[in-house]
Amino acid sequence: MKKISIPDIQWFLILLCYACSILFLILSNKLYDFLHPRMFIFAIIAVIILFIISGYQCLKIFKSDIKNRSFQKGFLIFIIPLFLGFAARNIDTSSALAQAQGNGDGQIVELDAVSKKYTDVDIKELLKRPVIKVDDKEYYKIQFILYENAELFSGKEIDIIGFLYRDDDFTQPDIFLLARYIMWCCAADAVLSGYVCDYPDTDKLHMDTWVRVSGTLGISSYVDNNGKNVTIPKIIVKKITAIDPPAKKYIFAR
Amino acid sequence: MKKIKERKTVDYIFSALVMVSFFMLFLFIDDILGALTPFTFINAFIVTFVSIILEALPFLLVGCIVSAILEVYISDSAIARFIPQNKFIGVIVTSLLGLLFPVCECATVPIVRRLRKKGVPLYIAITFMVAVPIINPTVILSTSYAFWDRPLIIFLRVACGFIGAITIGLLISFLESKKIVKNVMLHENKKAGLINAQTHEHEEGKGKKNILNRLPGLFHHAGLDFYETGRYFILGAFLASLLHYIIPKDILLSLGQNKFISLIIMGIFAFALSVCSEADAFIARKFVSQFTSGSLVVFLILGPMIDIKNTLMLASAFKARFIIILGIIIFIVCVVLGSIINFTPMGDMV
Repeated sequence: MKKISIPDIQWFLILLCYACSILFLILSNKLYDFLHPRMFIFAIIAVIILFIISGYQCLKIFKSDIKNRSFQKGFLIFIIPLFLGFAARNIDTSSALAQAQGNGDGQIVELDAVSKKYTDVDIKELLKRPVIKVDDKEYYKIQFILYENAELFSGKEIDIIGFLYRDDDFTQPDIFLLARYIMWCCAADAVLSGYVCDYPDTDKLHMDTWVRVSGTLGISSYVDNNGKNVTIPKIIVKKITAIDPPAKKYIFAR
Repeated sequence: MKKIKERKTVDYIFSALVMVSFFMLFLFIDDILGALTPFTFINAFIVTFVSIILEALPFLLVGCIVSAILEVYISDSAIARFIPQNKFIGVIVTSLLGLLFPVCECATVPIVRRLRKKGVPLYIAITFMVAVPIINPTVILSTSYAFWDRPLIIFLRVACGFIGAITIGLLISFLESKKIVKNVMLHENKKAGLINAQTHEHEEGKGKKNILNRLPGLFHHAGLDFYETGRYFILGAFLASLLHYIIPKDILLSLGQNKFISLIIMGIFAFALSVCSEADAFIARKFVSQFTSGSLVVFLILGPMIDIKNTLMLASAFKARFIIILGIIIFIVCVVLGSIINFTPMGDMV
């Protein structure tokens, strides 16, 4: 009777679980909650390699090999991500990251000077639009333009979605941040960003809900860490409606 | 006979208990998470941790496959043939060998040991060990994906890795000539030596040279490498994510922005986390907003050169005194390179 090596079976199951879990995330579109789309091809490669290795591992189960006894404790380490990944399936990743933040009003939005990408042509084109309707693809570029040319766009109409964010570091009562998370590689490096909004009934709002805001652009200013006066755009809210969380919660920086 | 039977029963019971308790945890995880809501960082920690794993897993796996290909299909003699006699050219060429032989960090120690057995000089073997985990296609690729918006960091990692490896190699050669470093190899210890090291040994020249014949061996090795590196990577990602949320932001920022202390901290971090060089760029990414560029580069070059896991493997091949000397040299060289970045205009350009 051939001996069946239990550690080999356990390792096989672990590999298989990893392969299937990632495949599940890909097929159910939940991968957008964790990874930047340009990394998706790598996730697919990972799934393929994992299936191949688990296939070979399956064959090894039926060859008794006493050397493999040492595997057992290490398996617990491998089970941790599977377990936490399973726990994460119902977490709204955006609001989870937001709740762990802690920043002051308006100073939250730090634009990464390294990635600045727009031209004067873009500014003129944006000025021509009757309403600036911000979609995910242009979000980052528009934000750069508006933040660096706030006075120029004062008075323009804007239509934009985001989730409501406000934390204890906010000093003024009637403002909230219409927030989005910007992701470069994965959720771990996602940066909170967005627009400061003026809204008198802010205390009636439920934070972390997704909304569509339409209003007029105005200007606000604050004093930064170096004592310099910084001008930023703000949105004077005219209309605010609740929406369903979008499929792609993050803005994927390009 | 009876003892073995008892041990087996204990094994089975233990495995069963572990599986049952995990099953229970799976059933109740949503309730547990609900109860933990006041600790807001837990959800954020889970999301961060899971996303780092997802992001790095492909590179880790590719690294294991490539390393396994090298172990199964290419013998050490082939590697040794590429090394020139002249000292300076020798260290330079050896530093670039990783481009041809992209071996995983964990496989370098057994290779170094085998190279020494073949008569390759110590300083060349050490240069190989510190350079290959940095100057290799998989690592450069994963770094370029992690830092695609900061190309200077990618360049600095490769450049400083290259300069650092050459410096370390020449320093070791200098110490050898001054007889400060000699007789560093342990005797072939059959009892000691980790299973890790042994499982990387492969029988040289055995069996047919058929590519297909060796395929099962390839995936067997890849699986073993994945087990070895995956363990440390998961732990590293876990600790890095935890630290990010537990350490108060202002402390993290004040330490991270200090041009000198940040270097030391990142050096220690890199040593302690023992993350495989194919994936550590994704962990470094996490600290990009709080730490100086010089310290990030220190993390990216010191980690591949030496860490806890490496040190343990070195202990199975080299004497303790040498390992300590080597560790100090590596640490100093990396911190010096990091300082050059931080204290010159280069640091602000990143």
